[in-house]
Amino acid sequence: MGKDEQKLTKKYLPISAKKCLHLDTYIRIEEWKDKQGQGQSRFILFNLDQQLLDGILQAKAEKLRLEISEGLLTELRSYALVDGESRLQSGLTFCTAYRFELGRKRVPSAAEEIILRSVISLDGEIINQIRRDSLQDGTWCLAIATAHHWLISQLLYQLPIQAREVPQRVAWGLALFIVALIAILCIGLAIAHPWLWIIFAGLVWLLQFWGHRLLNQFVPWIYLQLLWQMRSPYPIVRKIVRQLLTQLVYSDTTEKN
Amino acid sequence: MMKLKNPNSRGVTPLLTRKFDNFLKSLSDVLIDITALEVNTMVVEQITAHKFIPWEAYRDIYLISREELTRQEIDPSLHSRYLNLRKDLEMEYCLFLLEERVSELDAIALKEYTGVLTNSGGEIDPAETKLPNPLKPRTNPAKEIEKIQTVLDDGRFLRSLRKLSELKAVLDNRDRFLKTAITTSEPTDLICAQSIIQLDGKIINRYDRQLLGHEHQELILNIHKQGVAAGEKQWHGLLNFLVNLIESLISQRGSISGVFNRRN
Repeated sequence: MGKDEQKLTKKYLPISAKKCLHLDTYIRIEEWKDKQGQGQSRFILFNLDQQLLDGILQAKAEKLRLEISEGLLTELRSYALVDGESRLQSGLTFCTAYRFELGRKRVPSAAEEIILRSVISLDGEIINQIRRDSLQDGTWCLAIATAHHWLISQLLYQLPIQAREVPQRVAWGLALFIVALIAILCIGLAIAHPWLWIIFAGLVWLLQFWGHRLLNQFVPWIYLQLLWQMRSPYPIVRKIVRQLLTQLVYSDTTEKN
Repeated sequence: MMKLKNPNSRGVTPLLTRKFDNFLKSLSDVLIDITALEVNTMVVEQITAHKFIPWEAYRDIYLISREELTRQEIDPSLHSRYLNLRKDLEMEYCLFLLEERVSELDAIALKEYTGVLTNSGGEIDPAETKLPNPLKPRTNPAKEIEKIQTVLDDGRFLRSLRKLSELKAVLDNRDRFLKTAITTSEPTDLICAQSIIQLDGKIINRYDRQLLGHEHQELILNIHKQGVAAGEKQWHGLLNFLVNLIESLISQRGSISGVFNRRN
């Protein structure tokens, strides 16, 4: 790699400490609602300009990874599975828009235009669309197509997840809560027979032991339920659900590269 | 199918539970539908960030007819392609119905369906349509609308509808372009190149006739190749995610004995 190229990377690319490219601010999930506010449609938009385009190609050549925040990844996972009407997603749409600089001959003013669009269906059908006028500049056209596909690949490759172990303290908390309820209900009996407290203590231990294992078993189920609930119309609910979701799983990076 | 055996369950189960159950069913069904990876490359005049709302898509394709196309002054060169979309929708619906109740049908009823499926002409007689009408429900409006909702809940039908809707959007754009453009340059809004990678590794490539001799032939082919290579990776990630999730859901349903084994 030449010195000039190194300079370029350092100057333009938001590279994190982990040597990953960080482009969260240029990746947006766009959303529409129909007039009645019921039907919804979403797509993912990459906003590129010449600097970013160069940077992405550079990152690809250097085999850097795209770093995606857990929040965005969670949104993506929900988008990958659930459509705007709580049905199974019928197709993921990715668009790449390019911001032309002023004075470029094809475009009269600075404008964002969608150059490429990909629709990926869960059953394995992909439609790639490219604007006809972008074919005029072959090198640029290939470059933007490369960046577009690299970004999609990076996003989708980071989707797989592994369930996180439920913390022991959650199980302890639940067990204590249940036993405390029982204790309050039969408080008279417990005062009359102090040995009952030993049974309560034993019950707490047993409950957390079983509870912890049961909870772990149900993590995928809870995760899917929550992922499905991400479509809530209330932003605050969505925020809490997203927070919970990131707690439940971690990205499965075992198969990377 | 459960749905048919217990028709009352629809009204009893809360809407959300039913929706979630349906979602789970579609999720496990999608893996059955995977036969190959298919990558299509299209060169289009303009990319409008087309939105897909199933009900609207269904309605718009349902409405396509020769009269309607003439009324909307759609360019005559596109008529047959529009009509083909309408025919495909009809076929998809027939397939859906057949799958749902093939065992209940007698020979005469089956013949009606095969009539639609074997129709090689470009059009289906509007009187013969089996599709529920989204606008002027014939006899029982609630029933027609429920029929549409049921078919839209079917994952496979929904995916097919989406593809038809994508093709319609391209035709709509093409029509708009033909109306406004001063010169009618080469018509490019077709699938230019298509690659199908079967599960057994066999690869089939198809190229549109317009592509041969196209001024950017090399470039389009390069872009397509790039799309295919990337498509494999992209789909791999998506599939991994799906399989992973389904797998963990299934293993969770396994016996409680798993609870004991976990410790070691």
